[in-house]
Amino acid sequence: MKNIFLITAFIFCPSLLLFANEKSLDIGLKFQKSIGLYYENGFMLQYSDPEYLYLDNAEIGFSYVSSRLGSAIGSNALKQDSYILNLTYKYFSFWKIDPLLRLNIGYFYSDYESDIFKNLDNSSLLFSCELGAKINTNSPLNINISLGYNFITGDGLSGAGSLYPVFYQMGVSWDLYYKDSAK
Amino acid sequence: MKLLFLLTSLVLFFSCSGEPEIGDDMLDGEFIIDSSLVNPGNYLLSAAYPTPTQEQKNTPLIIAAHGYTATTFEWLDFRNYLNQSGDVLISQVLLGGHGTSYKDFKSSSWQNWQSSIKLEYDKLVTLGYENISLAGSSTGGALIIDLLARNYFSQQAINEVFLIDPIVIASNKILSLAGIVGPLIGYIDTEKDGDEVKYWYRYRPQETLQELNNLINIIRHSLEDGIDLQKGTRLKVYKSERDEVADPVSAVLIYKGIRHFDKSRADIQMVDSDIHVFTNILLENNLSQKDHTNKDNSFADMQSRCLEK
Repeated sequence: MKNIFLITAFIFCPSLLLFANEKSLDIGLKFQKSIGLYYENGFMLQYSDPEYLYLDNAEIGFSYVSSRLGSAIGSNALKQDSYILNLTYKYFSFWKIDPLLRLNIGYFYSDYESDIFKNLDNSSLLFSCELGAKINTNSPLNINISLGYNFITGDGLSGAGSLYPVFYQMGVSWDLYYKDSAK
Repeated sequence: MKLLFLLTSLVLFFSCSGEPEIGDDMLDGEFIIDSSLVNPGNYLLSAAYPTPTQEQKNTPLIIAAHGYTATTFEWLDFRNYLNQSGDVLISQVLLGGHGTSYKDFKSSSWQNWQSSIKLEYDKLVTLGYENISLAGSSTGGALIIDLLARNYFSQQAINEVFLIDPIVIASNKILSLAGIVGPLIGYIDTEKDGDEVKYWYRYRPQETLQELNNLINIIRHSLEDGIDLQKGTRLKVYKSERDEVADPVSAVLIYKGIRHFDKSRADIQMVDSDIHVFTNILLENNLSQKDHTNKDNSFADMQSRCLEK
């Protein structure tokens, strides 16, 4: 119990001692690669407002990535889509490179294109975490990179077989509220 | 759960680093080797009939390739089945690096594994055999897909290609990290026992897991680019719907990635089974009637397709 408290304090306390984030609305592109499988690209939306979000330095967001915008372009790769809601926690917003922790939950779907495979699972709940960093550029442009781990993958007996455990991603976004921010 | 598995795997990997303790009763050791190395004439057609008659040259034959860590034993049941009628011949190749010792296996590459398929095909073509088909189980299937992608059989078109539970995507996704965690692990102990350790390597060196990962990455890319079969070649996949080794989605990738000469798709049969390589059940316990039926039906189908031309 003591250890859990210490870990929790380590994760969440730094920002309480520092500056609170300003409101931001980032929209942009997301580029994701599963280790051993596909490039899956799409878009992302991140929102932060300390007035309404419980935690300072927290963001909520939505992203969509698909192999349709990556490996499946002009190839026979599976067409698969991920719809992801995330809660992102940044540690030191005034740093140039701001460490982040992200929890994702979402829905995964892979198109098998034939009834032959009707007995195979082709969709799944997504539940993953990411560790990474947001690079602050002192401009509306934001870049974040992270390494993620999917807790739910297929194992040959059940689950979507083309959902891989480890992925890395990069998001490039533009903060629409930047002019209002005191960054 | 997967994270727990990963952490557990890492702990096991660390505990398995170094060299395994290999018993004399294991294929991994120095005393037991695959029978095909002692009596090649009982397994390889090129050795059995080096000067074939015209009738033998015209008889349909199947070059059968086994899977990762296995031996010619994997196709023994099919050989026994075909021998009952004798209208289709079978040549069971032993993949390179297999059937000898852990040491040999550890130092082998996937290209070494594949070389024995190429060698037997080349010999049979040179000897004048005219009706050659291929069968590959698990990794044997992956090796055949690679040869098809590289148009290796241009000298003489293959008649039928049969893939039993081919692996394109592994069920255990940790294999995709073999290049990262592999050097930490040394080897994996499959904990096979009984008669299985005489016909399969019990220990899987991390070097060979990396080779397997490299192979399936290469064929996945080939399938994404598209593989067009030669005129006269047909391909059929038989895939267990639940498989702890080769993820069933492998069949989807083959379906999307391979086309016959007339642009039709490869034939796919999803099998209601949870056995990896459901045609090899000689040492399986607790079999149901359905397991026997699955195997018998597949053998009959393969034989009949070979005899259609």
